[in-house]
Amino acid sequence: MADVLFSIEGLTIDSVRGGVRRRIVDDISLSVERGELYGLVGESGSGKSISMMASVGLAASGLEVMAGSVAFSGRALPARNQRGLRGNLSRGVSLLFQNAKGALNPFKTVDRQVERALRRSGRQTDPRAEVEVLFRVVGLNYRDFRGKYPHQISGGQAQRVAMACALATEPALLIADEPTTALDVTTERELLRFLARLCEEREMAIVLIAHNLSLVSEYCRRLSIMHAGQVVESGNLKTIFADPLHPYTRGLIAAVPDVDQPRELVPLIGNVWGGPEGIERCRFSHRCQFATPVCEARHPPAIERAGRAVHCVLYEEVPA
Amino acid sequence: MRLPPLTLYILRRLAISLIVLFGVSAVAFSMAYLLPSDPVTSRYPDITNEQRAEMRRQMGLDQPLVVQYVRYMESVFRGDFGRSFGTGNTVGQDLALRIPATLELATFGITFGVLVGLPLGMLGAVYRGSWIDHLVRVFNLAAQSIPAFWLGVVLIFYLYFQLRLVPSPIGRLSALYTAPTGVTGFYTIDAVLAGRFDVALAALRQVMLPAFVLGLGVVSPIARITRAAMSQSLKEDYITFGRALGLRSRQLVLGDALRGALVPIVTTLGFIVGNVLAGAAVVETVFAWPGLGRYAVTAITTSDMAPVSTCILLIASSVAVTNLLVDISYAFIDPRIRHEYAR
Amino acid sequence: MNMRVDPMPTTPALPRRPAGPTPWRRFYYGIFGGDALGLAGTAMLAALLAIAIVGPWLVTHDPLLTTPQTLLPPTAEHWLGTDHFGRDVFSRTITSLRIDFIVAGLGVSGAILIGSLLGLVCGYVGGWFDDLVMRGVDIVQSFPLLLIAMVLILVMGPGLESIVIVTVLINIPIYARVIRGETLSRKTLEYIDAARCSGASEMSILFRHLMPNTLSPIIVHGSLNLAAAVGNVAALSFLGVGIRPPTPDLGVMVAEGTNYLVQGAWWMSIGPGLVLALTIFSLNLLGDCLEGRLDPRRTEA
Repeated sequence: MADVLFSIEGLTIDSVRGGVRRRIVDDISLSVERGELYGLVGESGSGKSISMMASVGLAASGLEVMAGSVAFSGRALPARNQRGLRGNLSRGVSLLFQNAKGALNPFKTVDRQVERALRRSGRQTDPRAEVEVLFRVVGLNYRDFRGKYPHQISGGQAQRVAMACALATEPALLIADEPTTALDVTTERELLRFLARLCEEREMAIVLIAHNLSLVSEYCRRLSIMHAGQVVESGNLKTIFADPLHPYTRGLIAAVPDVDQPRELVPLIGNVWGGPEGIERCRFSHRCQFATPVCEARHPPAIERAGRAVHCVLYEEVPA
Repeated sequence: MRLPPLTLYILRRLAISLIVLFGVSAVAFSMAYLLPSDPVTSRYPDITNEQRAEMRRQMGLDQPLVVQYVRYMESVFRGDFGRSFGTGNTVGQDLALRIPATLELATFGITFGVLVGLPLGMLGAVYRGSWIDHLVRVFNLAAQSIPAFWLGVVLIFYLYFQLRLVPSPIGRLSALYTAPTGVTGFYTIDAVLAGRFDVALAALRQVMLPAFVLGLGVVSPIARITRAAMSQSLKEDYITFGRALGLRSRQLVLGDALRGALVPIVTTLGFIVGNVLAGAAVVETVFAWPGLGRYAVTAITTSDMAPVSTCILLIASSVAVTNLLVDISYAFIDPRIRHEYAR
Repeated sequence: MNMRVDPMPTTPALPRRPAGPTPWRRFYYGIFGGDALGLAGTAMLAALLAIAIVGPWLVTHDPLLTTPQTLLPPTAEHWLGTDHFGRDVFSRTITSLRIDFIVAGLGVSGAILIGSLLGLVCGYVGGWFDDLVMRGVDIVQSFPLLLIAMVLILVMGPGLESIVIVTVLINIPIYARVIRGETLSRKTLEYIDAARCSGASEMSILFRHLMPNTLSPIIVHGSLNLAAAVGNVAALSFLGVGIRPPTPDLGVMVAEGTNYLVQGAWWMSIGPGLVLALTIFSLNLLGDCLEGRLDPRRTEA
């Protein structure tokens, strides 16, 4: 791969609660190139947010990073070193959250929050003017928002303010964790188009985390699909849509309505985490119509096939 | 004329408090009235029945409860709060001497409690679930569990009788010094203002131990609420977002998260003020501190009606005022509440 | 499609797999949520309760018997020494523990009974009755309760009954408030509607569907409140209006001991106070642990 900016290798995370240990992220890997919009798709609870948060050193309490490494701009760190990974946050990684209103400090006016992010980034020539510029970049009129508290603005406006904060650090990578979930449909489109434009104009890479495959498909070039803490398939969007390999991906795409070619939608049956606990297996096996005893025993490593990586025993070479 | 919304809010609250306090005064006075033992007989055991009846008539003790209550309320509005049978002074005069003593003790105690409790609670929240958190928890529960009167006795025994580290636990200032006179009534501050640093030091040494015992009871509630509220606010998205922006952890914890936890902390502090004023009775008794609490205890055990009802009324009023101050402070802490009040 | 079936799949074991729930683990995590401090508090409380219960058979001397051997330091004969009347401090401490447990326990139980009932009815019925009771609760809570307790005990006349009644009175507001809140938040839930639809009477809804759910806040507040009550009874006795001498009480014993500190008789106060502190400490540990376990607002994320 040409110009890899950010990569995760073999990230594995356990949750420990009430003395019970559960593996919630199981050996996932992905790599993002400079300036690309990368999609990370999965149902709620599939571990996509958890993995990305852990990859920037913000693993929630109660989670234990077991293995894996994260590289950003050619500097690799073990994923267990959360403090070290947090260092990337002031070296060009930024985040956007689902709940933008909650992401803004309710006790500070929005302009002061953007100003604070600017100060932290060290560009202090003229903070006031820079804040104005940032507000313009995210499409807000500075004068309307000066002195306003987060509770006085709408969700879409809050997400734009949060974006201004994130852009203040001039990031090379923006991890957007379902940034549009709390917004209405029109605002959602606007925001995603805006993200895509940023990506092009600023050479900024974006990882877009989403549970909605059709949403991601409009903006991403490449994507990974997660299920129950495992990456099941990753690669080029067009290839995957044209010919999904993993049974889960097929199920997902079958569930996406298509205006041009109307067909019967097939719902995915079963629960993400419904299978047996604590054993090494393909975690889709309990929902998979092709499941074999092997699937109950192990999760295969990435198999390169048809220009993408797929984790499924169906595609393993038969030994001679 | 239109008043600003916050002022209107305060005025409305004051009016409600005043009504409640009227009720409190009636209940307090009735209870004091019901206290057994006759103040005349207990003070002059050898007088004849005629003399006693005459004295009771002079004191107005032969009047029905309602009349006595009205007389008492007159004295409240006069500002002298009736006469104490025990000291012979008006209750107003007695309190003028004793309120500063209790306030000085309470101020030192609460300050100590907050200065220790706040950092402890923050430690517990930041290192939640670690051994530091557990240590803080055990310390808090222990501090909450040690009875103040026993701790006072133990400390007096070791630090005074055994080690002679502290001055003798009798009151606010040892007899070697003359009490400073000043505006605040706080011996420590008045002495400093008068330039008598030796007196200030002596007064400080005197207040240290009782303030510690009183303050230890404050540590635990403050630390507990701080831990709970900070754990909550540290989990808020805006803290994670701040980290994601690369803001310094110290700034986020001491600035943003603490600010987010301040409303419940201030609420608890409000409760504590009332508890400390009533709880001071025990500490003041142990350390022979001439304050409000000890005055109230003496008045209760000697059935001294006017001081009893005045002390109860006074503490209830300060609780009401504190609650109001707490509510007003919300507006300064949280802009969301400020805009809520303004509506 | 290439299909391959491996006859003997190799399954490397997960590192540090969760252990199966042994009975001990189930007990430890199920009841205490893996909280060692809660377990320690319970053990301590159980020990103190046991001592209080078997107290009469444990004492070495008659706790009320005065002897000429006054102010003896701890010896093999008198484990905690003797007081100014020559009474055995150890025996008096154990007897006091028993009395204080009974007084505080009765007081708190009474408050739970009356307070919960008030709260339940207030929350369920609402209206003027609710307003009336809650304003009453407001007024009671704005009083300095320690002083009010002193006045009430003196009005009723000294004695154990007065202390129990006063403890009940000053603690009723806690339960009335908590249970009212709990009832209010539950009475609009679907399961209550379901019960009503299936023909349950109002009484049956109140006592069979609402009351059982208020149990966990009662347990939490009860243990913390019992800790406070034990301390308050002792504090009242210390101030001279609670349990009166010669009936042994931990607060009275500490108070009597203060008069003999000058003579160096530390044993009169230290032992009883320590037992008092340990009792309150164990109850607080238990209450704190249960609060973390049973209060849904405090569950860990």
